[in-house]
Amino acid sequence: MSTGTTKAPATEAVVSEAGPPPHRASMAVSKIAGSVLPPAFMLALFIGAWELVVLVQDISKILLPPPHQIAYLFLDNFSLLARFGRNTASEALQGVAFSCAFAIPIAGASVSVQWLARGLSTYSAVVKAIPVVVLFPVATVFFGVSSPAVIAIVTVTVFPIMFTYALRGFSSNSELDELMRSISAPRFRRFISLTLPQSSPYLMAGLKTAVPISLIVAIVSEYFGGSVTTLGSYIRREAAQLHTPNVWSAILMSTLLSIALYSLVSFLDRIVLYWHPSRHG
Amino acid sequence: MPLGETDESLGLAARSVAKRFYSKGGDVLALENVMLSARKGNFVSLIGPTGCGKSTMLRIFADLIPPTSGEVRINGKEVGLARKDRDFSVVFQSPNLLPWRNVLKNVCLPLEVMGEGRKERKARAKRILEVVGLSSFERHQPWQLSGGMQQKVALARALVMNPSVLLMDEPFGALDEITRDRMNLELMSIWQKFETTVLFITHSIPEAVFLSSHVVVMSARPGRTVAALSIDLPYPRTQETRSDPRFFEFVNTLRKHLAVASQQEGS
Repeated sequence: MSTGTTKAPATEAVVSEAGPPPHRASMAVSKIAGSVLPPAFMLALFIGAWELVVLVQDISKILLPPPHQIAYLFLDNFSLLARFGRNTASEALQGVAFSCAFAIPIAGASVSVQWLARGLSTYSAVVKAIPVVVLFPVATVFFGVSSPAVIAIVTVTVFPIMFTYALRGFSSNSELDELMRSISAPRFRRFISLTLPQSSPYLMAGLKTAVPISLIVAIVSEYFGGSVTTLGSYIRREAAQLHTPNVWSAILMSTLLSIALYSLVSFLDRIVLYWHPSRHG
Repeated sequence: MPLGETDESLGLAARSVAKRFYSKGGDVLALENVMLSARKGNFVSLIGPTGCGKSTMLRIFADLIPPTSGEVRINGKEVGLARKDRDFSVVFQSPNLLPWRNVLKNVCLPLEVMGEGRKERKARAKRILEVVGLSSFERHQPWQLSGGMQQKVALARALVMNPSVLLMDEPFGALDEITRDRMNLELMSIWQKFETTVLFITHSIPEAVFLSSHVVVMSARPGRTVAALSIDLPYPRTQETRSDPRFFEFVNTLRKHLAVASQQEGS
């Protein structure tokens, strides 16, 4: 996943959020079936092939456990995995929250100050180029081997994404600016009443990019020494002991978590952008 | 035209206004020696060929852009001060409603900026919406309204500040003929109720004649005020006004002025 591109949020919204028409329920059902069945079929095929290969080739489960065993372990260990997953997700989301809390005001301030915007854009590109792993020793110096260290790393990695999107959103001009000026709206009021809601498509697009990345970064950081009760450190421990099936069950949990978080953001997107022209063609 | 009167009796005054736009492709002189004034309570239309700088003149009055030279006043005040005192409000070519706000909240916007209390805001906005006949659409979102209704919301938003001067930049230009006629009638009754001074930009001659107490004609670029006409058709003007023979006389006179104005090339 690239962190460097900022897509036009409106078109993305059209593609992903265009729901079925409320009437003609039968058509909607067949449409959903049409979009769900092919991937479900492929998944079944894939799992079947996996199961078969492991069985026929007699592959050691340390190398590649069969899917049914992963599923069994996943369910058996569910409460533990869910607890670890919740901790990981919480670190990731806190990191996103902090990066928003920094990026949005800073972008808001730098819109009207050209040199600040240019300078910060350059440095946010530099930050994007830093591999996450190398940040860990630095973060642990400040925070110890703990959750705050992971949150700090997520904050730093996600900041450039949110900053870039926010700056883009805030820089777009419209006739509404003239309206706000004509009623003598002070700068702060203009930002709250116009700029912020107007740029919410950009901010939501930023979140849609940032949230999945934050989860990846959190898990990788945990892997290198985060809090013990997280998915990343669980994966490290189990991998070190060659408990490969446990590792796979943790992978399954992080995948489901990622899907859940993305769905959450999409849901939020739908609520926040109810007014967007792409929602009511 | 009541030129030479004291500032206090004038809602709008522009003296020798020029506007030059500087750009890489070369400077453009958009306005030159514009003289315009309107007594308080007058309805003045500014009419001229496309690109003559009518809108530029309105934006100078609205303190959205500064004139290169000349003097512009609203209610005798320098326009920057008039804007801060909220002496005027602007109705733009497009309705410019905030799409994330419903009709009522859109109308409330200027009152929020003025720091009006929540209850007072709502009450005033509701009163204005009643005047423009949109009471039953308070909770609608802008995209659920027709173009004409959206522009009425914009008008309500402009009126809610209770301005003494209304600057209208071709507000009905995007509407169909029938809707436009109806909007004109409604604007007439609103104008008489609120007794505001109006500067109305249009390129429709019948619209200008129907609405205005005075019409000012501008020449092609650089825009100059070349003629001023007092439309002494009696108010209140109604649908019948449009079939008055004097209405046609005014339309014809203006048409001739406009034809001459359009041919004048800038020096």
